[in-house]
Amino acid sequence: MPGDGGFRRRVAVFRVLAVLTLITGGAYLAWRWGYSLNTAALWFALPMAAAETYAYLNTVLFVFMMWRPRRRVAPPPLEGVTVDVFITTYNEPVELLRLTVEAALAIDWPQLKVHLLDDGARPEMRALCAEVGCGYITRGEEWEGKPRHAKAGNVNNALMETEGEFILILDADQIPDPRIVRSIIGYFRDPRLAFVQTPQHFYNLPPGDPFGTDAPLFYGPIMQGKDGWDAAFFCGSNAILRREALLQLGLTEYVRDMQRRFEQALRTLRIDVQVRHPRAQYRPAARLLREALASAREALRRGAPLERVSDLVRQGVAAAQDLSSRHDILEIAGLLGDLARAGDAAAGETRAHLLGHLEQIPEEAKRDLASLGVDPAAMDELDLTRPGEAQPVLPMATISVTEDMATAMRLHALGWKSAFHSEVLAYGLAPEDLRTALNQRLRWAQGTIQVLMRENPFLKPGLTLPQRIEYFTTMLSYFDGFASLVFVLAPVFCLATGIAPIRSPWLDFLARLAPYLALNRIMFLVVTRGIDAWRSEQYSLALFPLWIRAVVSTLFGRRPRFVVTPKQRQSGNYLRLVWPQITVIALTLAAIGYGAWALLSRGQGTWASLLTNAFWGLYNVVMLVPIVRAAVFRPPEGWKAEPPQFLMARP
Amino acid sequence: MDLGMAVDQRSERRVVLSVTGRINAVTAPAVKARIRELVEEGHWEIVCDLGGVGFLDSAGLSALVSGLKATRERGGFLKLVGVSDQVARIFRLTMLDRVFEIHPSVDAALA
Repeated sequence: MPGDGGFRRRVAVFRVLAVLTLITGGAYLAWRWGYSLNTAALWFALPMAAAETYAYLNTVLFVFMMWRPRRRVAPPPLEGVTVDVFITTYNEPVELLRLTVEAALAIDWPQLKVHLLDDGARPEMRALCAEVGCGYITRGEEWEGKPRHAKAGNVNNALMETEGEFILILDADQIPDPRIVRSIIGYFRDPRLAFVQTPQHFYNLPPGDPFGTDAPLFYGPIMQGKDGWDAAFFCGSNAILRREALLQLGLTEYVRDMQRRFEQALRTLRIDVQVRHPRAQYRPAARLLREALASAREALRRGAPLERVSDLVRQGVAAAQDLSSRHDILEIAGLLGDLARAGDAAAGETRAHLLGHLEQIPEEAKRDLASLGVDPAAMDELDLTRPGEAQPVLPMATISVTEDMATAMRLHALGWKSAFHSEVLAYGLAPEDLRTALNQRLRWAQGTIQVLMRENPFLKPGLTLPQRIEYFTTMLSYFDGFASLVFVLAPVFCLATGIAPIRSPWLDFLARLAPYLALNRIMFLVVTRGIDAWRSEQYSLALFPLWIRAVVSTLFGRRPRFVVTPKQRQSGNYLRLVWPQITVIALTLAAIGYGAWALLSRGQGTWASLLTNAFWGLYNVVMLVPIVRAAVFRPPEGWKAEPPQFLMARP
Repeated sequence: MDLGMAVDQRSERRVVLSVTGRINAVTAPAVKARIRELVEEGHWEIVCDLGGVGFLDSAGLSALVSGLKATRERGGFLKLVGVSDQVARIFRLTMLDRVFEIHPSVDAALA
């Protein structure tokens, strides 16, 4: 392919630089831990060394990710297949959906059906669909009172109402290029390919991308790198998925979930039978019950059909209930015998009746299950119809507010493949104010950490080692905030207190650190050649308070909720949202001023230390300033979002 | 377990024992013991009000029959009132409705 030689050359240069970076970095770290820790100030030296180690780990993971990137060219289209377009909406305005729906109807593919998935169930949306002639899908009454699972639930619902072989998923604001299907459907010639992801591109970015929304680094080198390890992610929109893969995933997860529920229910039953009301139990019945539960657990462990497991438990419970009820009836018969002997003829008749029907004790008269220690709720769990859900089978993962990543990871774990196609084929809207932009980032971060906690990629069976590493790399990046906090505060501490985390001659330190940092930088520039990644870099440091908040709130706080990103600019100024960044900038500048004053007028400290920390502090300030400016950003006079060319060209 | 019992003494021998809650294997021993206690205290003419009993199983039946026997041994009685449809059905199915006197009200039982 054209330019292929250049691509390969670039990868080769990258690898050389990467190896050199890892060697110099490794040597630097060894020296830091082994020879230069300031043991007189460990409270400062240890966090600093830990943060540096964390940064090095990130570099190692980055190198791995970029080691063998894949740049794909789509195979010729797979003619004749049917494609459903799902446009998901909840509360976006009609005019916005009109753009998307009309563009979707114009997609060049003969066997195409467009469906608007309106989770808001709005009459005006239904009217729009009737007017332009596309399908309209809302949730049915089976969802009433059940968990709705936000966007994932919306898509799952539509999957059950449609039958196209492939599904193109579009967010409400993502205007598709008419070529989108024809360009990438050919990838599905590989029968094991589950989805193709294309980039997210924004047509409303104000000049300079003040909110750092544009993600050319992610939807370019990073996704190509992950794709090289067969780990291209699904990002929720602008992707085509294979229905068969989703359905298989849904079924597998259904069985797995049932298995988990059964295990949990059996555990609950076993403990309850032993612990609840032991004195009320008729011992032989309790033993029978324990044995039944043990054989059910054994059957579950051996992989017997779940129905069989459920039957074993039900039979055991029934047998225990019968046995203890019979025990009661026999006791009653004994008492009635005494009454009969004392002259009560009716007692004698009843006794005869009871003894004659010992095997047919009326259900209503049988022992209370609760008194056997059997929790009816646990028995309900042994039900294969998943009573708590609107749909028993949920293809799109519902464990997290970022359903896309969890779904992709599960598909990969089942052995499905994925592809990243780097050409922009859909045009969407980016947040137009800082609050919305930050909320979106927070949601992604919380969702990703949620996935890590619920389905750790290192524990999930079925993934290849590189896939595990790729998922982990992305998850780990949301923990950067703690190291960043150390990095932004360290120069302030150094300048203000004169204490350094490092104990070493200045030149020695510089000679070890500079090559590592320089190589790292050059390596990064090689990877991002032709891409403006500077804003992304600034934001990844500047968002440290948000990353920390995401981790803390997810690990220790409430469950994050799916928040629909508003598509219109919310007015206002948002300086309050960036107070930590403003504080750090102010502290840094003050500390530089103080350090200079202390050196010049009182002779405290050294020029080397002042210059190093001032340089470092100013670097931090440069990284943090854009987000503060974004808080008071106003688009320039006369600036307007420009919808993509092909839309304007149409009559 | 939610079980309540209250005794209302009507005369030297006569009491009304009102039971509320579920009578099953967990609570039946308490019912049985209370009736025996009453009999031992000399109250062997007992009207047992099951108005507050929503559930009764074989273990509960056993406790009541045992109480019946205890009262009879002293020449007394154990009559039932306030029996819900559900509980009445259990007595019918086990034919114990022919052993126990079941009355619509305490007054009817003591008439």
